[in-house]
Amino acid sequence: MKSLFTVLFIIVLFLFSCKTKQNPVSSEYEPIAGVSVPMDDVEKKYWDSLCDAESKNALKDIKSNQLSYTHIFGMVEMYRSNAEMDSLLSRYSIKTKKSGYYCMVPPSKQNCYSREMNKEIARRYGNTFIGSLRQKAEIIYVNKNKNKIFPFEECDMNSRYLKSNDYNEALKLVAEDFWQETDYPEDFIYRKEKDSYSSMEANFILHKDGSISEPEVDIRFHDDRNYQFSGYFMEKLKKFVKKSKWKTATSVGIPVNSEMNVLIFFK
Amino acid sequence: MKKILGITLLTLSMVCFGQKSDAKKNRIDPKLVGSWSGEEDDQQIAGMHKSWIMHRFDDGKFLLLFVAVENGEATTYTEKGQWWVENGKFYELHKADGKTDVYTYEVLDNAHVKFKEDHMSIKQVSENYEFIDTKMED
Repeated sequence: MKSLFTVLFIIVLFLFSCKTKQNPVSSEYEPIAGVSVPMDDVEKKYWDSLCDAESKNALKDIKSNQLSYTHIFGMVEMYRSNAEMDSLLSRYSIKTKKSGYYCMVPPSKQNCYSREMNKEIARRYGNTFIGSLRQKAEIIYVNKNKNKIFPFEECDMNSRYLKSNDYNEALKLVAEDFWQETDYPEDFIYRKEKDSYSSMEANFILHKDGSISEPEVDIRFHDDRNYQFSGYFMEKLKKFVKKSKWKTATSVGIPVNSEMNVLIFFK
Repeated sequence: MKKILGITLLTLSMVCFGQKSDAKKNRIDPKLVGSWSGEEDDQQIAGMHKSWIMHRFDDGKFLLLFVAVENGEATTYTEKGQWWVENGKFYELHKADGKTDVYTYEVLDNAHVKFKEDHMSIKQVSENYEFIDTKMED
């Protein structure tokens, strides 16, 4: 009986080990877990042949000295300074194109033309050429738009709270300072373990001279009963924002007017 | 004597604590409580007629039902939120987006209140958005 179990155990072990070995090696067309469905063979062939054709076209254009740089749009890093970049690239007789990035297609199978071109640009002008040109384009863009109000995320990740030079510490300090001078009402209903967070957010414009616009406060409570204190908390946050000292935001190191917000979570 | 003093102190402290808690609660103007109706044309959106019924409860909650008519098509909306008054201003907090519209208001008589925009969360066509609410019932 014992030996029968041993034999069975070995067989099961063998089967499992076979199964592991039989797992297909992940290919470029492996679907993104939980996001995409497997691509069918016809579609795979399409992307393969498109990539081949694009690469050949790029090599042909490179041979005839027609270089181009492609601005790619989609779920990739995108820039506000494409017009400025075009202008800088034109000085090197490099034309520009636009292309989309598809998240369901393997990166190696799309934008093959631009990949070949980028290799050639790097070969001729150096690996840092595009990066440094982009940096220049960004500076030109910001200088051109000196009076624009820049969205928060378009600014450098520097602290805008005078009390700290560290971005993350500043966020923490703002909340700490606010709660140091704000009491919870006695009847306030605190968040329970599984409740979603209640929060309020003050939005304002932080000008280059350090002054700010009138803050607007949005507020959301998980427990409806806390809305009876909305006026109190909103006023407290407005006063806090107005009396606090803020540091001018920068974008590529240049002082700019910026959108600013202070986010406060409730207990 | 000691007993009277003790009761007086207890009462005073209760009043003080009550005031402290109440001071943080939104203030309600009882004149604005009840069911009200109103309408406007072209003020929020050009070419749009809007009519509404707003029920302002005495606990600060409100329920707003409005019909917007544009190019012959009517759309109905319902919004819930919180209202309060502060320094002669009427605050209307919409729970859906957490934003608050602020109006100055004037009670014209028992059945009419005039509202004038002070600060709106969404930009209006008219720079001087105003309307009169008429009382339907308490």
